[in-house]
Amino acid sequence: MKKYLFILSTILLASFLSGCSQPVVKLKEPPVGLTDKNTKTEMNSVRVIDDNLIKQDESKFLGRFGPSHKKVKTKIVIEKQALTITRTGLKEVIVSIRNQTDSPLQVEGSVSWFDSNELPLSHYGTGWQKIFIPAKSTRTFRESATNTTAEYYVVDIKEGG
Amino acid sequence: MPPPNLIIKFWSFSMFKKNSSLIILCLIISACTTVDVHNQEGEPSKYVDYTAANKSSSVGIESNDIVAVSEKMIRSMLGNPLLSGRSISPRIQLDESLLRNKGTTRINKELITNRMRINLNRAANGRLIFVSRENIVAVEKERAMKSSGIVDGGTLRSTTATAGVDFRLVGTISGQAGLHNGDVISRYHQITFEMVDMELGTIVWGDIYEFKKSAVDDAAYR
Repeated sequence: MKKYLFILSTILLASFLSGCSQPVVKLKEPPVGLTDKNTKTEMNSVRVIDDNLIKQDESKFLGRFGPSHKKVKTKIVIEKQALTITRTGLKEVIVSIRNQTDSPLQVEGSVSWFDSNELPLSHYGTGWQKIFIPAKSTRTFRESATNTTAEYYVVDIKEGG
Repeated sequence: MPPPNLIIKFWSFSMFKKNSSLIILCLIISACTTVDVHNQEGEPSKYVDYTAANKSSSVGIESNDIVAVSEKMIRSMLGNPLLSGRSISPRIQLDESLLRNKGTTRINKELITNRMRINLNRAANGRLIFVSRENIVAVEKERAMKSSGIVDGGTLRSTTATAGVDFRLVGTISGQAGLHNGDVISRYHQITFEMVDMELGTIVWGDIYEFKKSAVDDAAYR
């Protein structure tokens, strides 16, 4: 009996330790726009700054043991983002957002523009543009720069109310 | 040994003295206690984000709506080649004089047009020239003093006349109210702007901003 218990506990310990050798359970790529406190702001990016829209939970066995499992909860998906130019030569950013939920969703978007040196150009509040996305549908958020020196953008998305 | 009735009298008197001072003390202490009166201290004023909707907002036009509509119109005008893509910068009159409020929402129209004009002037950077018609009286008075020799001609060039306007902003604010379940009110707002060619009378640019809000009705917007 003691022998079997020893073998069983050895097997259990070995499998547990083998799980520890992998640093993190590898999941698919994190969703576009996922932002946490350590996320660095990159130029020409879309950031979802509201945890209600995109959130990544990390859990471990009994809260502290073994490899960490990351689970992403997301209401929206940033399908595409692109930079274009208007007929008057101003940059315009276009972001395609899909609502994954079964109910209509209201989100708000705001763009910060930067010049070629990555210095911000907006020096006053430009407000939030509301986008109403029906259930399981896609809508487009677009906003143009007002300055001809605009080169890069950062789009912030949050849940509206 | 004093007689018993005197002893009784003395004891009663001393008890009375003792109790009366106790009663008086209790009355004094009770007068010092506070009564539960609702006199809550007010909150000091604080700055809030004017670009975002706040908890006290209702179904009318709020600061965040003014910011949103002016920003949309600015970008729309800057993106129109008939306005901002001309070889010679056009002269524009952008003020609230032809912005008509046909809705029931109380709003200071200058809040929208001032914000549009100032930020558009800053962004256009010379691609659009704005004419200040509301100050025309002061301009004509100064020109009269210059031409009559009361003052010198200044440091800029002299002209035969003040600037004529090429395009003028016109607009309408409309609203439609709805009442649901007796206490929930909704209001649909539509704000339209157009630029009119002041020579031909044609419309060279136009855009629309519309939104709908619902809430328990606020007395300020009735």
